Amino acid sequence: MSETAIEIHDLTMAYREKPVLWDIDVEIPKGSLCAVVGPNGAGKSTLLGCVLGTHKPSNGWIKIFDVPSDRSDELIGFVPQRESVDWDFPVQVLDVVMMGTYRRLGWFRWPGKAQRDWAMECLSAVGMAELHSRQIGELSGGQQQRVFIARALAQDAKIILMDEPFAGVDAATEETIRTVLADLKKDDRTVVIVHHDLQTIEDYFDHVLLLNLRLVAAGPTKTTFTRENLLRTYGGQLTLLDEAAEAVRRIRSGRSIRKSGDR
Amino acid sequence: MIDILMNPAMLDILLVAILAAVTCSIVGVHLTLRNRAMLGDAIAHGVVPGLILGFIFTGSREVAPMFIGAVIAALILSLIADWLKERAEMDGGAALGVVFTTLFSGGIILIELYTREIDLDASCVLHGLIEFTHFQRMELFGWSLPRSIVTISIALLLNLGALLLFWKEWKVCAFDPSLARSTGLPVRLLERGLLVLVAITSVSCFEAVGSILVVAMIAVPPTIAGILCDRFGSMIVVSALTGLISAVAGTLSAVYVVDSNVPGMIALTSGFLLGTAVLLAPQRGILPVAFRLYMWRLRVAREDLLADSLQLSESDERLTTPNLISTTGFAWIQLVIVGFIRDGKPRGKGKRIAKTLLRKRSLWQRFASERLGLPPDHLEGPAHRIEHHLDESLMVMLEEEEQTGKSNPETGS
Repeated sequence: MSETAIEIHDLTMAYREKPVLWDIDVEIPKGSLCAVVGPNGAGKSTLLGCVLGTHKPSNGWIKIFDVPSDRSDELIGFVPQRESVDWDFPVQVLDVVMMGTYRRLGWFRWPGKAQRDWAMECLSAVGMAELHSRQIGELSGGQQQRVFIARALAQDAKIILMDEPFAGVDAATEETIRTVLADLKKDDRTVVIVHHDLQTIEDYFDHVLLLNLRLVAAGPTKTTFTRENLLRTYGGQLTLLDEAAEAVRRIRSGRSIRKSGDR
Repeated sequence: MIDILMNPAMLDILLVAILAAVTCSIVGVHLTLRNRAMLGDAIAHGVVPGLILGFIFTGSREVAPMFIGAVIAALILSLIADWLKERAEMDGGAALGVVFTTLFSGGIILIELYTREIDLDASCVLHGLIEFTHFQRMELFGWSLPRSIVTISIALLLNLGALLLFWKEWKVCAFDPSLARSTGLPVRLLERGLLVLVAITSVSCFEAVGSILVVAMIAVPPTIAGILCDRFGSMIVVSALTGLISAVAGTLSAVYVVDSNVPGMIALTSGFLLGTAVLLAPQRGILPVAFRLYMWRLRVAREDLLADSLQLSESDERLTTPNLISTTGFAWIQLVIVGFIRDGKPRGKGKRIAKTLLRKRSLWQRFASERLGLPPDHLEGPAHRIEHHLDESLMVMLEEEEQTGKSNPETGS
């Protein structure tokens, strides 16, 4: 367990001077099931994006299994937020999972029987094999999540990031996703999940990462998920950052500090 | 039909129409899947100043400089539109609309200013010169071929080649850009490449068929294919086929029926096909869906009538004929014709159906009241329609459920 899957050092991310993540230092151990928790706009999805490589941080670096992320061959699986997927897209379940094999296939080569079989295997691992020819829009919420998890498996991803898989799903679906997560952990995969429901953190996750623009705390759930840390995450400890953000907004809009301070 | 095939000028028109329609409908699938079908419109118009500048700089109507000018114009168009969207925080559609109209009007002004003496004409931008296809010829490998057939064929081959080479990459970029980026695909480059392809396609089709047809063929056949298909590959094929059908039907009707503008008729035909697809598509079409729902309601009405008549016949009464001008009435007529009901009483197979339904009904009502805890007045009306959805396997499940529920009643909370 001592091996580190994701190491983030001094990561800062700003969209045109507006801070989104500030000076994040964190290590996520291999094989952990880690929740990323924080209020809206705390930069949770952005943090996932930086690890995934879809966002370029303004400063700092990320290492994946001790290799700088831009040189790493390791594929990271990503299960996007449900709203960000076009469910009317003309692909069937198996097509989506096959997409996980494209990178290793390389340019100009077409997926063949080997890729099909592998994708079917990954679908079976999440119990979705019999639905392989469904159009993705015809699936229920939990099934949709499982298809994307199967795609991460098809990538042979040792690290899987998920953006709010539990948002708006019913209890039965939540249970199914949990079972799949337990299987992933059994495989010694590292799973990082943006999560909103504070009630279930202690049951579901062994690690937790509390985020509010800055890293508030990170570590094993037992020692880190404390009332005090939660207050620091959601409470008013961050006025300094808020004011800095407000100052940036004033610079961009060209209004003087005095004017907006008059209110 | 025969005289078209015999008349070389007509044959050339038909060929150009088909080639242009198929080329545009293939590349259009990519744009439609990115919800950017109107980018075809924008590029088809935005390339005009590039075309004209290419012409002005070289003073010739050679294909190469006009092509290069148009591709550059398309790239500039998309760069400015992206820049407006990201930096000036404009809505994507608005940014595109502003940029392409500006470029297009600039192009029109350029035409008026510099090309007055020559045969470049603003109105031909709109509907092309397809009627003259046969007479604008070029030499290729010793053959004399109509020029637009050559240019559009090149565009079609480019389109097909790029489509096959980048099939899976473009599919991933369209469906899930974050997966594409995280696996190291050069998403921006691929998307720009697609733009260049759209630019090449629209420029090559432009002179022959005009912007109306380019815009229509990029947007309409892919939309039809989207209604009919649920896989990327079949969507491309169906889109190309729809383009082909529109081209043939549109050209023939323009020449033989209305004697009018060929590209206009092709676009109109595709619009008509789209309407047909919306109404009649087997899976999602409005009429088939309505028909299936109505058939289901008829079946429910038939089963209810049979069940009612069976219950009444047990107390030696008979079911009175319902109002014949209604769904129930139609169901009644059906039952009488096949002989399932005679004299208001169920007969033969009708009796069996009625018995099955009553069994389902009692099962469902017991399940609803005992296991779901519904009060008795909730078991009538639309709620009991569920009984019609119970198939054999569900009934077995309900019966088993009932058994286990009886053996340990405390779980029935």
